[in-house]
Amino acid sequence: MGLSISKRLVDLMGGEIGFVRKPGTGSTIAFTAVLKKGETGSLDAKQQYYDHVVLDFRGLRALIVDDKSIRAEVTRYHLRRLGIIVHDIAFSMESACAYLSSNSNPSDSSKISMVLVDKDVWGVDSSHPLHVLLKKLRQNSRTEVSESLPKIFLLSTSITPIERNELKSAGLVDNVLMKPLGLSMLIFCFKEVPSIGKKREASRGKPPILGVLFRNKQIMVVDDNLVNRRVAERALKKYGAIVTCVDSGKAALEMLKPPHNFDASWISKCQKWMGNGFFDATQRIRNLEREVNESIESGEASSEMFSNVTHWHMPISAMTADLDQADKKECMKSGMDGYVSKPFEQEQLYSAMARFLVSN
Amino acid sequence: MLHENICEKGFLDEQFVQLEELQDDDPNFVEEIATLFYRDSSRLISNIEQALEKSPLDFSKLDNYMHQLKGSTTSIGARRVKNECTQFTDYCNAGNGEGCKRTFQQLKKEHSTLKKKLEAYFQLARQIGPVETACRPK
Repeated sequence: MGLSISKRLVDLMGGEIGFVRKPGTGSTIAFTAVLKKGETGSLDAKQQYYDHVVLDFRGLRALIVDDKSIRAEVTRYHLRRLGIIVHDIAFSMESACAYLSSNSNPSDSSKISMVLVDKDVWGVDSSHPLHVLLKKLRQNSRTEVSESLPKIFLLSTSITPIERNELKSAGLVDNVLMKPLGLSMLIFCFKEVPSIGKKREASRGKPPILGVLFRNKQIMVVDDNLVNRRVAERALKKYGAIVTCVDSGKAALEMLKPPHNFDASWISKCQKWMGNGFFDATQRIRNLEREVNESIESGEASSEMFSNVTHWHMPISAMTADLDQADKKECMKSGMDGYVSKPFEQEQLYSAMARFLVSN
Repeated sequence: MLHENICEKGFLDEQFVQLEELQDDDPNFVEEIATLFYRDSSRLISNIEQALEKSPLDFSKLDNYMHQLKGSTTSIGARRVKNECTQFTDYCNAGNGEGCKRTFQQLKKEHSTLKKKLEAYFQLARQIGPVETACRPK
């Protein structure tokens, strides 16, 4: 099936595809395609940022824990793009722990900065041996060494925001990397972990990545307070986003019926008994999306009717100053994807929105 | 000197500094927000005042007004006013009418003090021209 899909794609790109198969060895697939030169300048900012960021990671060493060697090679490839070196791959948690124990008092150059564990291997042992090992190493060692103990990342193809948060708050992982891996996503996820990578002077002013992230993205701000709308709008416009403000959940619902062109929506925390109910609006939006998705799937409606998008799920973030645990649960339950907290600090915006805006 | 006065005494918090950073190419942004804030909050304050005169007190209505007021005070970074809002909400939830009325008087005072300080701040800012941001509270 993969070849069939590839053939279609290559046909669309005006090329041809063929392969040579060697029994016992494998197949080599080659294709041609007609491409045209991209507009100069459109990728410049992004490229500059990547070049800049790679400096943070170049030379770091990582350990991959995965029982499938080809899959591990793919991960190694992605890390290499960031300049991260992977000398060894462990096939089980046991061997990973043994490796790390013997690596616990290394010289700077051979120190492991991060461990990437595939979810398949992670799930096997629920006693979380890595976590236990790191705890022990931290207790036994001098402070400088304990600060530089490796960071743990879980590699997963699917995980719910709730699961991710639970793993992080329990201290079992430093972050979760979603597959398929991509350069932008890796950078964002690594940067979400403080003290990873080389320490460089924090730069003031607009971090270029926010400009790349938000530029020309259509974002809807929903808040019934004028002051709040103006501030949120300003914060987003600063990074080049196209902002639409509405003052009620009801108005938001009108504009967010698929098909629409919004990339993300920020909704202010629920006003308790007012008819503008924002949690309610989120739920309604999700219901609408589900209906549309189901009708496309069942063939009742064609995706062309919905701008050729076959699966509608718009990132909705709760925008709020203080969110306690109970509120967080409500947010998740009603179908929100995350929270953007006020004041709109740059680091906040970046880590809250990166995940949504980059994959689009 | 004015900057220290307005930030270090806790009238305004980090959010206000963030607003200034949003200013960029629009030198009137912070003043515009402050003006909107005062219009909005004055309206809410007079609503609350009226509601506090009724008997018996409608606590859920009061809570709702206060929630709105708190929202915009947070956006502008008016720390002291916000603290009074929080206090008021606590009394509301406890059904303590006297507590609400007392806190409300305090709130109005903080609100008008801040207004005077902001007015002075903007006047000075206009005279000086674009200048580095007010303060970075620790």
